[in-house]
Amino acid sequence: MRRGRTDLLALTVLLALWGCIAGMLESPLLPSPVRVFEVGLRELQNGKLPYHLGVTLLRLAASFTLSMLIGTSMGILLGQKGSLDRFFSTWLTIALNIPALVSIILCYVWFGLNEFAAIFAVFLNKVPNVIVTLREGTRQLNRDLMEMAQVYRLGPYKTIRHVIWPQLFPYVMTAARTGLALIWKIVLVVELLGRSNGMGYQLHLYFQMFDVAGILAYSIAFIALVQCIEWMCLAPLDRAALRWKR
Amino acid sequence: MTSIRIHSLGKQHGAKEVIRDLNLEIRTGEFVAIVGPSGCGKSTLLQILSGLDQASQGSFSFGKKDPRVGVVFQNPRLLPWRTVRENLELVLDAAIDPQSVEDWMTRVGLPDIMEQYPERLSLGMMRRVALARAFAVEPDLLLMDEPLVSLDAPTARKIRALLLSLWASRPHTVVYVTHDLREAIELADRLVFVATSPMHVVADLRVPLARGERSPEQIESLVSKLKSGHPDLAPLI
Repeated sequence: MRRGRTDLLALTVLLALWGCIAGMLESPLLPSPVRVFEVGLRELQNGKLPYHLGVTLLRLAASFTLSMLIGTSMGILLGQKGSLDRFFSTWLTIALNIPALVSIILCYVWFGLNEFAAIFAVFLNKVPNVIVTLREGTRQLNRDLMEMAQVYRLGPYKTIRHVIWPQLFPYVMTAARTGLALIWKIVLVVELLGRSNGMGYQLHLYFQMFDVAGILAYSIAFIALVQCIEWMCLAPLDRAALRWKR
Repeated sequence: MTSIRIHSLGKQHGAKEVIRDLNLEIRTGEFVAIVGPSGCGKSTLLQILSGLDQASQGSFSFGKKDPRVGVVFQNPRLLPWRTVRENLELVLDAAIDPQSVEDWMTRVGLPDIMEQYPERLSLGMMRRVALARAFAVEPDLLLMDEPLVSLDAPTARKIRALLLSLWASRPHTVVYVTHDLREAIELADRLVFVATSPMHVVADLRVPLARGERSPEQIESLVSKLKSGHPDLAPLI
């Protein structure tokens, strides 16, 4: 409760500060919070905001799921097999260092301006990150507990479910969190460069019209949504899985 | 229950020879203590017997085909994210009634912590849970690797008595590794002394005291008798 009150206070101060500066400047380049709220409401009512938000969310969900599934399996594999890891670590270093913009442009050039290219480009940007995180998690697996599982003949299913997964879970959560933060930023760039709908496209449109209120309204709606995913999905998962901690 | 026959077993870790030409026969239902200094390869032997490691030379075999093995490790090795009950039930195979874990926890004197997570328990309690887990699988062979190390003396004494009563209620073959001769005398039928680098058997003796007469004084007098009677054992005691 106390925490919630502090958050509310911090948010109010930020809004007040913004309102004051906007009031002093009286420029269309920094609209007041009220103005942004009005624009947001208008876009909500005419259905554009929900539509573009929905499209972006779908791309986000697709690329997120794909990178988590493939990245987790690859990470576990590399964490277990030293020889594979030595080979692929160079690839990983390169992949981690490719600028997002480059991979996005290349995907569009190679696969065309389509949905597959868009989602694949986001996936490419996220997956090395997941692999590295899960590889680290796999390397940290407790050998003592693995031996216990072996001498008590737990078998593969019980070993994975009760011994390995609980140890990897914090790493999966870290990958999911940083993933969400990274992916939603990249999705916008992907949309800006090659799609005709979604938040990125819409922001681009407002940018060309110099409509800062529109840009802010869309951004705030999106930030709020991503934060809700964190509160409503990731945080409860964390609490449920870590209840054994002292 | 099962017997064990170890035949000229050797083990190298890289260039280091850990065990050399080890021959040992352990009879069905026997409680054998392997006594030797820390780091002499006793744990490696248990690792090999429990199937976690492989011998470099020689072989070993069990009298019973595919015996059920319970292991008590130096550290309790409980899953911290599972409750005590879950930790115990997890290792049972389908043939064993899951209700029996409550029975075992009662016998180790901790019937009230079934739903607790191991992190909330003291080391002594965790050790007793690990003991209950090893007994709960109804083992033919129990391998114990210094299971009482780093416990305070009264707690260790209590757990030794507990171990003996559990063993008496359900006899099976035990290989108990320790560096503590007094502990070994109190618990075992037979003492196998091993020396270090590489590990080999120095002496193999029956404990000449009946189970009822192993008071601290009797144990102490046996220790000094061993020291004077076997000069080669002195550095190991």
